[in-house]
Amino acid sequence: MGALLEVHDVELSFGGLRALDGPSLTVGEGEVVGLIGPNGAGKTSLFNCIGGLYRPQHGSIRFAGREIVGLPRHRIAALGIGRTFQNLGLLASRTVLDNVLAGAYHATRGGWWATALALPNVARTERATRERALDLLAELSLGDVAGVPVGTLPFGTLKRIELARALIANPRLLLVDEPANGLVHGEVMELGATLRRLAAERGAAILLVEHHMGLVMSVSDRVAVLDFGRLIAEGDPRIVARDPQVVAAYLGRAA
Amino acid sequence: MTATTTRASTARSGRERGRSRDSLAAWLRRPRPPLAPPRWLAVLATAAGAIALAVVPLVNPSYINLTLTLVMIWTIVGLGLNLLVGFGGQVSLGHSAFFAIGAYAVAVGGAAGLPHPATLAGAAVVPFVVGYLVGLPALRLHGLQLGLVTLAMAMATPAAIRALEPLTQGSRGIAIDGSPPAWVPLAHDQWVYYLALALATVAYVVTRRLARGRLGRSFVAVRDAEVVAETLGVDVWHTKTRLFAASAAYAGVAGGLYAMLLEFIGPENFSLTLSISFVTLIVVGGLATVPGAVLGALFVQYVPTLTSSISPAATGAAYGVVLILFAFFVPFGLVGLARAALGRIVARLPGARGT
Repeated sequence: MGALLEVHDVELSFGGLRALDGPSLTVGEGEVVGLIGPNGAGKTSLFNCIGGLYRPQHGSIRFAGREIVGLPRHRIAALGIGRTFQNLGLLASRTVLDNVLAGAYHATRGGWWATALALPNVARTERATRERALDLLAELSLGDVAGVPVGTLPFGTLKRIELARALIANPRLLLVDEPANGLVHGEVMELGATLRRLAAERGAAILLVEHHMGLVMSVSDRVAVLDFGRLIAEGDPRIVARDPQVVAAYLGRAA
Repeated sequence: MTATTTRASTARSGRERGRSRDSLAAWLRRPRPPLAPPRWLAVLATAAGAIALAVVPLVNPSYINLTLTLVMIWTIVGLGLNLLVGFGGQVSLGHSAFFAIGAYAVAVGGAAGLPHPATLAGAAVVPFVVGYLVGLPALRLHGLQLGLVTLAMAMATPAAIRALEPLTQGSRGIAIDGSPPAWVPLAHDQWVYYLALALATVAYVVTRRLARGRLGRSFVAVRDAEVVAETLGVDVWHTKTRLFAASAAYAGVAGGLYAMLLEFIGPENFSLTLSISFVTLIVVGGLATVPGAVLGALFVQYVPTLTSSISPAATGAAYGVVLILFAFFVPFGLVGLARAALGRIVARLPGARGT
């Protein structure tokens, strides 16, 4: 019995450009792993391989012991992998509540016939889902905007709505892409605490891509560093932060 | 409670101030939530409507029953097409083909001696199956390409009817016996009216259930962002093919009723114009709304008659002008217009539910 998520030797190229050059990575049950690296290091590419948006040319990705490379995306989601998007994937015309409810799709039942005939369990499920969504919105301080169309809200708020949408399905693994983007400093640390608590309550593991170092270091159990598609360091956040290769990747070449 | 009321009224007066600054067009373009009438009003309106619809065919001359039955037939098509196009975001200009298949299912089944319930069931099932099979390849396409393929379907329909002469009797047309069974003491027009009323009511209720809740949200997700829908666990392909087949079944049932109402159909009944008027119906009524199908059906049934009475020399032109005005000033269709006009009044009625 291995870790919850086992990424092994994944290679992904776009034409001549190698986005991922064989990184390996594990995330344990309930663990919070921070994934950091300079822009273009391949963090989002790795996310997209795990979520099935890209198909790596080589390597394996196992979730709960099962190979998921090549599985259709909706099946990967249904296995219990939730995610948020770097540039948002919300339904702009819909209200905040509707967006969060949409996240519960695979965690709830209610097919065409059951819905058309209005079987009692359809209404019961809808009511229960609605309550959970409102609770979740309240926990993320979004209770006041539940009925507002998302198109009118600021970026930082939208990031939290996406988080609520991913959490409502009770994923076993949550892929979070830059949640602090668009937030001011005070909000970032608050978000980090909320994120950790919500995940712990649901027993969800988190793989977190984030540029805000303070957030990554405070939230993560372990940190993995990508550079040019390769894993250059991995381990305890405080030790990784002092790793000369990591420092070089972040500061050296930029100068 | 008091605090809530105060906040609501502050927000309302804020909106009113906003309105006075807006131009009329901008005001009409603002998205609005559905009307939420108080329960007593909803019950009262439904009851009054039900009684009126039940009594109408008994006291009216048959040509009025005929046009009202047509409105219900268009409503059924509109409900299904709006599920596919409005909610699901998949364009179809080809639903006249499914309408024709339903009509001919009733005609051919009736000629074989089957009773009305059986032929109408066939008018749902055959287009559903055909729609599913057509959808399998067609729904791999998007937007304009899907529009083009379905357009070709609509264009080919009259020719296909002529080509299948042994079954359809081709250009000669085919007669249908739409008269009620012996034990029903109704005239033909009344019988078809009640059948259409019953089926339109069922279609309306079922559509409303599908469009809300878990499935409705998955349709909208497929329409707005396919990749996001997939990461939420929605099988996009499955959803699209089911939507296409279901909307074909709606059109088929409507076509079956149409055949029973006219009692004689031929290829010329199922031209491309019919498909265009279906699309007009859902756009004018209000995309991705359920009541939009009813309002749109009333529009496509009565407005062309109205415009031709205004200007008999230029029927098409007057109708075209009306459609252009709609495109500019009623972006959310008649349902959007109703929300804009009645929203504030409904919210002020005693017992109003919050939005």
